[in-house]
Amino acid sequence: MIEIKNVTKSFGGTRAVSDCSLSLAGLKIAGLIGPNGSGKTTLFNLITGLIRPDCGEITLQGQRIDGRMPHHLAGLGLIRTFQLSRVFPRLTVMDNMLLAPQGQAGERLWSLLFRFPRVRREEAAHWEKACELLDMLGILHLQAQFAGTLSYGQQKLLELGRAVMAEPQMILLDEPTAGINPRLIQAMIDMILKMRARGQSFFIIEHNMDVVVELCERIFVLDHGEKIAAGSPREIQNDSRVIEAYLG
Amino acid sequence: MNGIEGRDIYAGYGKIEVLHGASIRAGQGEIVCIIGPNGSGKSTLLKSLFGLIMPRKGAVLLDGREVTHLTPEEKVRFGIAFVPQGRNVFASLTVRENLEMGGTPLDNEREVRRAIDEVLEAYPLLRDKLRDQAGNLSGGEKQLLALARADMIQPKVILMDEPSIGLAPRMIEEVYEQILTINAKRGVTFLIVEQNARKALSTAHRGYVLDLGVTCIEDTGAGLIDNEQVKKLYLGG
Repeated sequence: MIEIKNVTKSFGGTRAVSDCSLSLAGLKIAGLIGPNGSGKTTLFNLITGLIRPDCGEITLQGQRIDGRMPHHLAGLGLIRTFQLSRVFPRLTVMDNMLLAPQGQAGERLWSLLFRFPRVRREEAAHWEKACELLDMLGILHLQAQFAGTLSYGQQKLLELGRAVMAEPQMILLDEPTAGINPRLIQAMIDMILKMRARGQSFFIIEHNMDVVVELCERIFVLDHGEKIAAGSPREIQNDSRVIEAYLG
Repeated sequence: MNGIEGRDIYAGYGKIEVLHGASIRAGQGEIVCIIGPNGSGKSTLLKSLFGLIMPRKGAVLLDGREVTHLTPEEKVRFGIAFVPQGRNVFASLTVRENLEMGGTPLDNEREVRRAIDEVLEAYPLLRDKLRDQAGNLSGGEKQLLALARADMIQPKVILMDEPSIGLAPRMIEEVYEQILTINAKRGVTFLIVEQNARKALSTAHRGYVLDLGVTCIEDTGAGLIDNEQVKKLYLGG
């Protein structure tokens, strides 16, 4: 899985991530917490290729991925969501979902022309799956609406649905429950656990400690760009440095 | 009645109507919280009260006077301030310049300087950061700055959209402490939209549940936390 070794990234004079090393090997759900501005999102941006590290290396299944383009990484099975959702506002909710799977047969002229039944079958399967996921997320009734008309929280739910639709190896979630109604947070947790049971891995930035504790096997804590702690939820909750820097 | 009131408000965007007759009031010096599912219209309600979108029907009253069709600029002069969602500060400006922006409605520069002094008195955390770029502040500090900027005109009413969103646990505490302090010291009315419902309700005097564009339950903050139906439908767990 993902390994990060001695990664550093500075913006101007600010060291956003500083000599950070962490390994997600063997972890199904890992968490990343830390104060605002501690470098969590920067680390996600580094992993997903939006920015390049100044030094250090990042590998996925042993393959070097730092500096690769995001769409390349999506092809390798690395998908992420954003704090502020990035759905296609002028497409319907359903179309947003159907666009998510990578490498669809219907995207190639050859198979469109000569393997149309297969394209149709695949699309039908995607449709069914999209319905199932939207239902789980409580936004199935909005499927025909433009995504841009959804509220902030609903767009975030849609984005999670899109990530899951793509069936990647690893999904990185950046604050999935921020702005989500508590009752739907439970639905989100259930969905993540269900996907985990199907073999899906997650790396999650999250401030809601109830969610982090319920989901994560191992939690990494950043402060000022440095990893200050790593451990099980119980260890983290009792770590004096974490309490000082983050939990209060 | 003193304070702010929204009466039977209908509002939406384009063809989509989001609010179908929502009513809400926050008396002078009250902290009132609005909770509800995603897409229930909470942000839309705040925007309609502030005039960022105009209600299609219904009325907004400030201290008993109708102010429904006033623009946001005019509402600010009547003492209503708005703190938008997502720690909205001017990232490329310094903290001081952000505060000056909040002071735009004030008469002259002397007034602005005086207001900044007063705000720094109330928000000591910002004092050391005056020359820093707002974009470099931590999330909690940005939220405090957004609140302080709204507070520059010493409003009677502050409307806040999800003050705790995306904040680390200890910063959430700090933001709510600040809200309580301002409320206690100056009797400022707060109308707060939150997903972090437990925290907001435990701070608020009263709360409303908004669902499908109408206000459906109204009670004290503690009453809503204890309400079985609210627990099951909106608080989770």
